[in-house]
Amino acid sequence: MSPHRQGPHILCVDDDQVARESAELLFNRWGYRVSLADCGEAGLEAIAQDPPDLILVDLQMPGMDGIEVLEWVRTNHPSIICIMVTGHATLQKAVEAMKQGAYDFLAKPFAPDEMKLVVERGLERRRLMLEAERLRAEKALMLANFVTLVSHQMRSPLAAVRQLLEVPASQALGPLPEAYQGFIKRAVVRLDLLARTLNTWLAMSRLDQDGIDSRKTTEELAPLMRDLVQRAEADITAAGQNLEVQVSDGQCQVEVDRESLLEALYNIVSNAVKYNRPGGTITIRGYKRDEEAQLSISDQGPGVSAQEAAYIFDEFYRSRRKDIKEKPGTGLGLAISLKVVQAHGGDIKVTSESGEGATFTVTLPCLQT
Amino acid sequence: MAKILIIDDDDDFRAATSAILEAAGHGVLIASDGKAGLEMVKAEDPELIILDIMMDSIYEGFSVITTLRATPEYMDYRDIPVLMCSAVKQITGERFDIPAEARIAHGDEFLDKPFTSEMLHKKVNKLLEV
Repeated sequence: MSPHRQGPHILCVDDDQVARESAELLFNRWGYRVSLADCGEAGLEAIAQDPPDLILVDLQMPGMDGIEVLEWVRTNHPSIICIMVTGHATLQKAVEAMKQGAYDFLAKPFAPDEMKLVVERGLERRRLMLEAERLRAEKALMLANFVTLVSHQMRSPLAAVRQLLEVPASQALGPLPEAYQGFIKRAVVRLDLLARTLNTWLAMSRLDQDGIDSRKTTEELAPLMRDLVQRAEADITAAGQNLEVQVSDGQCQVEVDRESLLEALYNIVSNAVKYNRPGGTITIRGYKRDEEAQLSISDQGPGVSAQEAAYIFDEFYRSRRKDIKEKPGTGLGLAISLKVVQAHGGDIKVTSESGEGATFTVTLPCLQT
Repeated sequence: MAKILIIDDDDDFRAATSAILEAAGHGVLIASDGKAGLEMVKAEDPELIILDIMMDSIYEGFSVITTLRATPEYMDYRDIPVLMCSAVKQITGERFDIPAEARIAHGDEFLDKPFTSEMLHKKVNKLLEV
């Protein structure tokens, strides 16, 4: 066993015993760890058991020759550097090996320094290759984990700031001068909204087609609508608004990821409640038309202009209108609803006359009955 | 009033939480990682532990509670109530619900971070059976 176990590992494949022994002597002296193989087949076995950083392989050997070893290594361990050693310094052979992916070649007879130089360059090349590979892998991982990264790097500090603010907000250390209370309260409101935006965005990033498909079950439209009404009723009443429900009893089956879809519809209802006129009515309808399930949610608020309708489902879009801008919102509610509905093969359309309320209509494909 | 140990790697969280608890008259001990927290448990025998789940390693809180509840070394401390908390409830790509896991790990209560002082007092009082 070489005393330099930690040094780069070099495998020397050569049928000439003298060549192997002198290579071993030299590499040991230079601080490398050396393995030896006396033929191509033994070389492959050695690589499989303990892959080296670099291989010095004789081109001409009985049985499996250097080119075959090279081919195998390029296929199975592409990051191992191959240096070809040839006794007949025919340029043609060397060129062939280089074309196959050998890093360099040494023509016998060569001086020890020449070998040292070629090996050092080869090892440097491998180091750079591995470094590049590591960076690529790291980048891919970062992209794949972007959402997790956002969770950690943004949610944690945001949560910490909110927690710190809780000390003055709760007046835990004694009463806060009244002049400060309003400011603290406003900071808390803004921060809570920011946290909500971030959470909604994270939830949206997690939504994926495969997940929704895997959770789909066959549901009747009417009970689905009843569930929606049940969820939304309290909010509508709490806002001092009225609710009207018109759901046809006729059979209409849809294939849906129940929870995601109800959440998406609930978002639309919440949106309608938010922009409804005080004391206005929210109308929820569900019916079957042209082999499609149609679910609509109407309010009596200021309505959506044709220009706005084009952007209203975009992520982070918020109305420029003053009366709407003043209401807190993440700008993500409708975007997330559309994404869910589209993942069900459906669509959402908004129809509105400015000043006369807005109607959001969700269409979903029905099962043929 | 009770002796409460906070195990959390975020010093802002520790500062805010201890200010709220101390103002309510509790004695507060702090530890900034799981190992220090477990040592503190033996040295101080607290009446309640507030334990953050994601510290240096992402599920460090779970290993703390497992040690506390299930190793002979902590036999005398295994009944200390633990309030687990986390700013993250789910990790992308993992079908792993942190509040549910906290229950499975025998955490007595779970609190989302950030929490209001009202929520904190409610959970603390419940665990101390005030």
